[in-house]
Amino acid sequence: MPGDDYLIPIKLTWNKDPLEAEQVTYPKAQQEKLSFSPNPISVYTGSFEIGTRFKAPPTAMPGMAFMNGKLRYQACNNKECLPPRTVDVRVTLDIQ
Amino acid sequence: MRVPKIASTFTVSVLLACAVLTIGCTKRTAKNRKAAPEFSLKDANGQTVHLSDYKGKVVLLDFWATWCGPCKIEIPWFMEFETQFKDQGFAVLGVSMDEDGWAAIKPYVRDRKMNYRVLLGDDKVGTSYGGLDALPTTLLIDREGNIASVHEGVAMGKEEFKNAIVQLLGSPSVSAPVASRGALALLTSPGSR
Repeated sequence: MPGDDYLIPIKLTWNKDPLEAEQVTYPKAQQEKLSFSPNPISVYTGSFEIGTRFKAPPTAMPGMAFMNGKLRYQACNNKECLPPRTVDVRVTLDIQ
Repeated sequence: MRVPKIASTFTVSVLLACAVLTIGCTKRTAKNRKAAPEFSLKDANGQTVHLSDYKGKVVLLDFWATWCGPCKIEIPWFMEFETQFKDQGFAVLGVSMDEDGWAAIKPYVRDRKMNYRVLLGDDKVGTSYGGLDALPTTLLIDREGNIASVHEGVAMGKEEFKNAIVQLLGSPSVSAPVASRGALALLTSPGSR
């Protein structure tokens, strides 16, 4: 959690086909003191990368494939928040 | 059995849109005010509430959500205003824009002992109030049902809000001969980050 029970943490999820997401790795967050919380809040700012390690099941066909997923996030600052959003994510993979 | 390999690993790059957030306050003089859009929303008891039910009162209409950290700054102020001014023809209405509905809202309201009426918002009310690009968005509505000021984000302090309410409570109605002297003196606090 980002440091407050009601805030919505960023989350990347993937469909289970044709590969399986084995591990999603988030970068280390910054701890920022925002005026609405007595405790520091974990945040990302600027540009950052979220990594995913995929596992190919034995039945996976070699060749180019797409993995589709969703990224849910919420953006806030000291004064206001944008509504939470869920955006589609798609990556191209070469299964060998 | 052949075990497929993946040619490379992948990362998803994310660029947060925080930098585009803006806050501010828009105020209108009595004669330039527009009618606050009517709505029909349910409160926590399932009772239907219309904005027009409050005509004749000064209304602080706060669009908020449980996931909105900055909203937590203002909620205690609004609770205090509700207590202080309710007998003078004033009411706070908190319209929650939580997608998860009452399951998310009720525990939050209970934990914070919120003393004013909370309604569950929907896309229709969001659209009619300009899209609500960011929360909190707070409107002060005069006794005639017209929008006196709009505050996006935590745009001004508690005392400024209170002064604005007091002024509206004391203002003559728009139809009164001295209406042109009833303009608000809200401060504008454009934010920067």
